[in-house]
Amino acid sequence: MTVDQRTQAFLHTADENRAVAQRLLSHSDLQPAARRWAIAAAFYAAVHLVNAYIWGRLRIEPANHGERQSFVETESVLRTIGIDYRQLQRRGFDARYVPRFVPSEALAITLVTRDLEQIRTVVMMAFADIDGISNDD
Amino acid sequence: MVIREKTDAMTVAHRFVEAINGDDSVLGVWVRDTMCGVEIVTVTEPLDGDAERWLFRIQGELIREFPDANVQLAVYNPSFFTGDPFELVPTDAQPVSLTT
Repeated sequence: MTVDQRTQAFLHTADENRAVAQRLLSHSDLQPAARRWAIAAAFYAAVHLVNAYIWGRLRIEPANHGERQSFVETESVLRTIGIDYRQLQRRGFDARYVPRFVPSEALAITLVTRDLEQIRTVVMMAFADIDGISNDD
Repeated sequence: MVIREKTDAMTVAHRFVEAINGDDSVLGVWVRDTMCGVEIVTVTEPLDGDAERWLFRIQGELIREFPDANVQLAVYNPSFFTGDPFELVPTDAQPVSLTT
């Protein structure tokens, strides 16, 4: 695993999306639309975390969601967060494209504060021995 | 030249039904070919977010078993959708028998 500028860029974009997701969740009068966008932002944070891992390890950037999903299943580290990733991916899709998707507050909180954090922890642990990257927040 | 046969969507669907093993929280299963791959569509009983996670575990097993199929999974869980979840099943999806 190595961290270059491109890896850093993926991690930076992931953190931006994560911050948006957390901000939407913290909105005091949380509405379904805010929950949907929180979940969508959380999914894109996960996408960039997975991209960071794949780039750091293999110097490959997945061309699409299907290719990225294949890496999640074939890379042993990523496989440990496979269920988190796939549920977030599906609910992120529903958030963007299925108008009748009305996630509960509990679901949105779980996806953003537990599942995305688990994905982030696993990816950052993989980079943990590399200077300049810290899992602390 | 090697020509690789495309995985049949119904084959994937039957493996999915085997994996759910008659669990009665799954009310219906459908399958369709999309531009991106094979999509399994399910309608479930109302479940909380954790109680639907096992279906995404099965999706992972199918992705590993059928790596060329790009298996997608839609879970229409009434806890998170308004109205009748059966109306969300795509019209081009084929029903899959829940008995194996």
